[in-house]
Amino acid sequence: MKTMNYLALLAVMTLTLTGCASTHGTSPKGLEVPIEKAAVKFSADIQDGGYKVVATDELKKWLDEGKKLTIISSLPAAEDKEFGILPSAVNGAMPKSEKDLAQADKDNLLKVAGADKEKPVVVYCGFVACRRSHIGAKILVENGFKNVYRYPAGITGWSESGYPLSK
Amino acid sequence: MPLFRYSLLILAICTAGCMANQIRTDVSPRVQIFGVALHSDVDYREIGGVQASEEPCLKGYERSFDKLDITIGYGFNRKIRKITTRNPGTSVFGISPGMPAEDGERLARQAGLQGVAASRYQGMDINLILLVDGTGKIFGITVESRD
Repeated sequence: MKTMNYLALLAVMTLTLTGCASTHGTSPKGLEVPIEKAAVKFSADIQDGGYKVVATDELKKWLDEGKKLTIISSLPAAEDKEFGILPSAVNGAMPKSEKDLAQADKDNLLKVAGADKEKPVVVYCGFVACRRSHIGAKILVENGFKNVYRYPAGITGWSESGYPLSK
Repeated sequence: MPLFRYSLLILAICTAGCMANQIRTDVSPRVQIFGVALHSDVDYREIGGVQASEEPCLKGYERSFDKLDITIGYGFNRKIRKITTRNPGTSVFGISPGMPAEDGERLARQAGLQGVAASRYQGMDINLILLVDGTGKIFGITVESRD
């Protein structure tokens, strides 16, 4: 009888904890409000920036196919060293806000993007709410680059998908 | 005899800890903006009546006080790891926004920092970044912990 009671209690606890662990919404972890905040800002930035967007699986496919493109990390160089970079990425660090954009950062971005303005360029940073990639992609569009993509999920989305980052 | 060796080891570790703290207390008071000190664990949500807006970072989160033109970066340990000012009424090591970049460079070197790249300096336990515009004028300063 004691065993039956114990098993019943265990079953109730398991069901309760399973219920707590997942929720409806964009992510099983919940957090709908910060997701909405990021989505609203992201949408406004895309309209302002004039660049295209590439999702994680599509970018992985491009890399697997050997598509010729330039990948730029807009994270600070120290964070690239600490967290790793996407395959073949080069550093074109951008600030988190346009207000902090220095001429040297802009010059370096244009230098690492190269002279071929037809070649696709993908700019990424840490995660969807990070605006460094927006600032970088917008500068490239303003300077005549024709195929500029922002990869919103950044290194967080890339590593969450189980894809390798190199250090 | 082993007791003596252990005592020496413990003493050495304690002294090393004290010296690290000494470096902290030497640098932090010189890096204050609106009373906000690098490495402090004060949870600033408002400064002088100005409310902060918060953004996530890979290394923690940042609070921007737009009307004051300053941003404070916190690490996940809730300590201040970065301060950026664009406010001409503030200074770090005597360097103020609005100053020519050459003057900022001279003051950074006078403060004992070494240039590591264009407008970037390192020394003690901090990085100093001068935000310079296309005319060669400093429009902002970032100080960050090298931890």
